[in-house]
Amino acid sequence: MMIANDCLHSCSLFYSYSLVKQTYALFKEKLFNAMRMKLFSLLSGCVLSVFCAASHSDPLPPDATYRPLPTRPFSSVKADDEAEKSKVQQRQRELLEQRYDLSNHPLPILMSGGRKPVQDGVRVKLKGGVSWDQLASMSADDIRQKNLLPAGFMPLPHVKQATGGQVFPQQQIDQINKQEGRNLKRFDVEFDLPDQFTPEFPAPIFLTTHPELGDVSQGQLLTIKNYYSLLVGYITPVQMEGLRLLLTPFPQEEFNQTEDRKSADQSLGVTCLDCHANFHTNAAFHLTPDVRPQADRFRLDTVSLRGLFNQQIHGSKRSLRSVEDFSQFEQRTAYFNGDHVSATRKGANLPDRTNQVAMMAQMQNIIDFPPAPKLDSMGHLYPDKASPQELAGEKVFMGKGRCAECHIPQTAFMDQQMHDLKLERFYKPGVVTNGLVVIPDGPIKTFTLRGIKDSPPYMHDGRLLTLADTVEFFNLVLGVQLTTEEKSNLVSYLLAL
Amino acid sequence: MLANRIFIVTAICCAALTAHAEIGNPAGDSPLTPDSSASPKGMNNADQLFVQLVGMGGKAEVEAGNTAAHQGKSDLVQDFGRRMAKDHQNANQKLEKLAQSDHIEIEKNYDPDHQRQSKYLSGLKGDEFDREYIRTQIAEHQRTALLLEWEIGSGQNKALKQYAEDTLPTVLEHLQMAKDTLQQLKTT
Repeated sequence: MMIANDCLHSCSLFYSYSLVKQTYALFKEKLFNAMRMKLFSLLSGCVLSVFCAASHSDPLPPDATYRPLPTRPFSSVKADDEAEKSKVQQRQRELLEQRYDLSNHPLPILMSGGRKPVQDGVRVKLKGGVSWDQLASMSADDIRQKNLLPAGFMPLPHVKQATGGQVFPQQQIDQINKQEGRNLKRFDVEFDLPDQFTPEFPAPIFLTTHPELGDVSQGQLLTIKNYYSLLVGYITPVQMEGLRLLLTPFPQEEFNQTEDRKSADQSLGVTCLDCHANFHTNAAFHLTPDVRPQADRFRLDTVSLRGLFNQQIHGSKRSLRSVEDFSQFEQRTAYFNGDHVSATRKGANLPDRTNQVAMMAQMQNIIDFPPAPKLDSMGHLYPDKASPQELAGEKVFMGKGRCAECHIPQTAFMDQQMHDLKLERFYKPGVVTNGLVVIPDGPIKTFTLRGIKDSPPYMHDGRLLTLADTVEFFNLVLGVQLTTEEKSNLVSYLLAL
Repeated sequence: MLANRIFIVTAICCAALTAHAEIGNPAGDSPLTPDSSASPKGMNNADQLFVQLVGMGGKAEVEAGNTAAHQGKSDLVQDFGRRMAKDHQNANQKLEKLAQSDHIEIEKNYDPDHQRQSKYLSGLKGDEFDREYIRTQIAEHQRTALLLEWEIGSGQNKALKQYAEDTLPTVLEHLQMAKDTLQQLKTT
């Protein structure tokens, strides 16, 4: 019995083994064929993709994207920068004078803080002896072929494109130095626009939480030194902490502790409100962090933070969806040109989302537009409060001018969209001005018009110095052929917003 | 002994490779170094790399353009090829002059990528050639435009930067022509 069992056992084992062996052999053959097919297609794919990728295996040089490390000593870079500074400033001054009428022509209308007048008139200079009306009647193609687009409508270059970075107006530098002993002066460049084309300084602060109080700034620039005593009792603890963070200096590309900096001494850095002074703008500018190579990056004028509570997209080229997103990320983008690698070396601040960022947003979200007594709750003029010119201007704004298609009164004169104005219909891309390669602007966020008289210069790069310039610009871009009277009324209307 | 020999040969090869790689080393001079304090030739690393890349690319363009002028099926492509050959020949000559005055020799042979591309295209015929040639031309001109823009921003040698500035509008024109040609090829 046991022997039979053993035999049976052995036989069944043997049988199983040969079955397994056969199955395995079959499987192996199939597998081999399958693999052979796969290998063949993989190889062909490789070969094809090698041909297709022929032009991509040697990419462009890495420093077309990444900031290269400096190789020369700080002292010699500084000496060279200082030596060429006056030449750099002169070159920018000549460009401004060629493009604009820079004289001081104030209107008898003051900005919301009651300290600085709004500038009057069209400042962009025409080319080739054409008038505004003649220009408006030409086709875009014609203007492009004959190179007649006014230079002041073209993108405005940074003072020093190759370096770029944040540039602060003198008043900001002086106040911060006085209050904090922190130096925002750069040894390589200076602010370029004449003072009359910048916002009043310091700007008034209006709180949505206290509309009855009006301007709570007491005529002072908010800094880390005075914010607490100015606002304790007015704001909540989370708002106070958010404000403290918005006023704390953090390392930035040009203002930091390394040898790669543009401040004479090692610097603690820059605060959010160094550009967004008093939650408005002081016209400080830098370069867009969203473009490479360096020569293509357009200039960015600081935006006002007033009315952020209703704004749903942030950042002129990006459309960050919340103030929290913006606050969290700006210390890699505005501060460090979108280069997190350079940021890490210099010491980027990475605010924590759940606490610090949320509190910074809390404070930014309570900043109101300045009062506009002639506007009702839906953004329309009260007929019994507005002047005939303002009412006529509103009619143009809502109708022939087509302004309201994007600047919707009911939603704070915004549409939460980015639009491509396609200005390149009027000029040939590729021209280089003061180091800036002019390429099409692409889609840019619609900006609010509430309180707009308070924040010259206009457009994302500040190329339009007055509201009258802005009206001429859009008249051409939208092809609406406004009359002189309609343009003038439109400006009156904009001043009332 | 053999191991030693292998080691030595490998070391020599590595050295040769690194020597070649130095020209592309991104940790080069700051782009803001004025001419006077620059390297003897008044060029930083970006300038030197630019000369080689655009020089080789330009030569490849002329060859590809001549190929298209003969091998292209449609008139559009033949005309485009002729225009590329002519414009890039001019640009190459200007670059040669600049390079000579700085005592720099541009690589005579195309880089391996362009060699492969050239071989691939010469094996195609008819409509397929037309489409593939124009497609590669679009990619090439995009890259060239960015390379010129990079030189304008990161270079230091004034003459080379001016060369890049002068060439850029033409390159963008070529790019537009290539895009328009592809559009027309798609609809015929």
